[in-house]
Amino acid sequence: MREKQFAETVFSLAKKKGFDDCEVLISSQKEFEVVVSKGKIENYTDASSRKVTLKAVKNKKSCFATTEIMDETSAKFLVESAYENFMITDTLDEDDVWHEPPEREPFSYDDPFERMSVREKIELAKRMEEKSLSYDKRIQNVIMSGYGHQNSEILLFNTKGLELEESFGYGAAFVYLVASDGKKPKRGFRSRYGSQPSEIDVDRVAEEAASEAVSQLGAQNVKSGKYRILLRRDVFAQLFFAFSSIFSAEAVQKGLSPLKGKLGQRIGAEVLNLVEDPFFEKLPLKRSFDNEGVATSRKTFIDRGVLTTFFHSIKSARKDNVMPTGNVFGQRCVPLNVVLPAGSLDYEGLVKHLNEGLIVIALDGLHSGVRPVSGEFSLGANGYRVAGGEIVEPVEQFTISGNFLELLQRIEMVGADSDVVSVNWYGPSVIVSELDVAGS
Amino acid sequence: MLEASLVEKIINYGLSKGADFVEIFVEDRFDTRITLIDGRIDSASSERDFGLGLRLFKEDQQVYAYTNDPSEKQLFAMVDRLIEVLETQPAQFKPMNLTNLDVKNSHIIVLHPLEVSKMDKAKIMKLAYEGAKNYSNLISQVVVRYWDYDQRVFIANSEGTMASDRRIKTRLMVTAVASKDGEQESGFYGPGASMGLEFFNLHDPKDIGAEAARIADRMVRAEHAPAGKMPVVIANEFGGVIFHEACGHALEATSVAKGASVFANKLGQKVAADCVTAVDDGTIPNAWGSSNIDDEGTPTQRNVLIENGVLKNYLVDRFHAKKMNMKPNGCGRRESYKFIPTSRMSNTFIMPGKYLPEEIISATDYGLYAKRMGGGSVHPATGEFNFAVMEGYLIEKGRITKPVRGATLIGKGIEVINNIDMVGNDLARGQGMCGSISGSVPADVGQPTIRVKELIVGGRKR
Repeated sequence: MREKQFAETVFSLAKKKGFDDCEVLISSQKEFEVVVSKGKIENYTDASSRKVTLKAVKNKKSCFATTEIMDETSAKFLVESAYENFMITDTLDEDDVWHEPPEREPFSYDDPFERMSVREKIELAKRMEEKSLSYDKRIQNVIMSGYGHQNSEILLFNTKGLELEESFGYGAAFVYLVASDGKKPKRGFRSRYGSQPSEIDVDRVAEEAASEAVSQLGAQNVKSGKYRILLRRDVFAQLFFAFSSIFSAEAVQKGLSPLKGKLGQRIGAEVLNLVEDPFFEKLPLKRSFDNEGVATSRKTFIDRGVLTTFFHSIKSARKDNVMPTGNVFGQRCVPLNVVLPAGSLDYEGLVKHLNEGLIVIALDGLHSGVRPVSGEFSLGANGYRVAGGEIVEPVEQFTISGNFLELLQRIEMVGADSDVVSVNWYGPSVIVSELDVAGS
Repeated sequence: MLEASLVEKIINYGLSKGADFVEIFVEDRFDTRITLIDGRIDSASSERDFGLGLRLFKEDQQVYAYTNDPSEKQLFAMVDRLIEVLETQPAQFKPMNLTNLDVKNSHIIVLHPLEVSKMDKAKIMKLAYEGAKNYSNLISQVVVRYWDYDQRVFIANSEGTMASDRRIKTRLMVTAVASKDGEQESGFYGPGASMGLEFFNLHDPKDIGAEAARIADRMVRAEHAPAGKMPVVIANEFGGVIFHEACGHALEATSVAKGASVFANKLGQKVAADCVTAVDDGTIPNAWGSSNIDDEGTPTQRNVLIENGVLKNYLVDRFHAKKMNMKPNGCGRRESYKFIPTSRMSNTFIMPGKYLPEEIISATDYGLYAKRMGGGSVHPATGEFNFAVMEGYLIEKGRITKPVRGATLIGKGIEVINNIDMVGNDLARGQGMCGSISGSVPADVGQPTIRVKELIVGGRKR
């Protein structure tokens, strides 16, 4: 069954069932990944899949059903299940399907990674492993050396006449390895994302992963106390995403975010700006509309420390009497791409400026050691100790603890070492004036 | 789910092209997810997933493809694509005939989720809400999430095995928020089982809600946890996350076969304190992490991993079994047909010892009592693990004195299981989702109350 025909079938069944409006979102995904270890293919996935989501609305209440098959039976399943779900939904929050097509032309991603031969991709993964091993004889084991890419195509149809189509995707290379000096093994990890193969320098990925693991050998413990801390650019990004749900209007409305009542107020240091930019050139994913069909837009959501907006779905926007912001991706209302505009000091300059303190290069427990409701966090960490403006030794087995909102207030310096550090973050490292550290 | 004749055809085709091993995994599954916020059902969704995964081995390499389209044409094309990657030559092979593995169902379901109305499920959720909301006047918000699923799997491989299983799981997860003097803290409790709605005859939804609220209410009134190294007494049930993270993941063949585990090449050696015996058992009737067969068609079993401190066994999946010269032991798991299966835990727990929990606390001069744990993670290659305390108390002079807010505990696997010096007699298990390279799978963790001589508590310096 073709997509549009399937959507029409669902619409007519839904109408018979008494739904006011509905929307069918069809997402088709292709995924390729090869992981090598010891020169052999350890994992190799080459696949395609599809998911169809129905959002059906009656009396301003929305309900959902999904399927992976497009046939008559599935169309019936979607509508019948949605109706059962409608019967139990008793929220007072009103929802709807969107009516206004975005002004911007949709993005279209012609996956350049698909034009590479499979052999070529396998060779790149093998080359990263060889590069890592030859970097230093203390590299003991490359656990994973991987190269992959994925692309998605989204089709959205609704009964208010929206008919939208967009495709997007990215490629990635990653290396995860262990170095050993015969005493304590230390890990190194690096990944790189891009829209096309030329943006992913596999040699650099291998070298950075290897040099990081080697530089951590002989790591020392840290004494508990309060420290000034440099959060490396990838670490700051990870910490932000662990708390990104607090910027969702729905979380704020439901009393699940510490940002309640803070709109228009200063929540961070004056040097801090954060921009949500779904069109940002250097990041691979670009979207002109979100999964509710609402136009996306570039917005500075933290402007010189001031919180200027929350991220709104259609539902939360109605409640606050504002416009939805085009941030519904998957089941969540989150920023698609985040850009942290650079300050003036490069990484070396930041280390000098830090003078005395710790550099954090990796965090552990980001899914469990953060409590978005309060903003509190306590996370395992490792990195380097800095004294006299120089890195003096690697350090391990310590935690950093604090409150995310206090941390934003305590950012004293934003660096200029901006880079793509994840699929959806471009930014530099930052210095935080004080965090609690627990160690030995 | 797929014609046996077509399955045979595909497997034989793969063998004729030179693969050593061919496996087909078919999955058909229904999920129901309902969210209640502030006493009202906020959203409800029904999901139907159907797909098929095809896996080939050649010597020590494996390749995988999946699709939603089970047509003969698509399956043959997938085999061709994968063969091209393996660069195998057409081979002489013995056509195989599939025989059905007789799988005994040890997980009887009484009230099947697909046969219970969503209205009844909503009622259960509202009871949980009441249990939480009425716990204390500090409770400012309650989120109740209900989840059930019915997963049918079919596995056939070139060793001639053909097996089916049906896994039915039901879980209720409550998050309560307590507010006091402008501060908020949350508490979570989320029990589940391989059961239908009869689960709620054993677990009163009101009690589940009240437990989440109790934690939130306690924590919003707590001080910050202390910082530094100290003895930690970890309560039973979900406390077992410590063994799961500190040790369990590093016993998976995924890490061991590559030599990327701190436990590699240590079978038969003493790796933990004498008082530690740990088991992974995927057969426990109706337990959250159980199934009749694993996702590679191997019957699940009880595997003793560590016995009185001695390393007895690893968790071994089919692909890594060859590399390790061992037999697969029923732990090849995957989230769905979109994942390559690998060795995973099911229901993992430390066996009971001789102490009463009270004795363990009164024997501790100063330290942290971790009553309720959150999740954690580990790097098997270095042994560095972390896990979160959701509800903690200070122990001073052998007594629990005051509540302290959550902190992460960190350490290194081998060090910590050698540092367990007291094991209680109150074994219980808790439920969670375990994430790894083959996706997110339901798993029980468990233990009696234990004491660890020294762990780094990630609190704050006063």
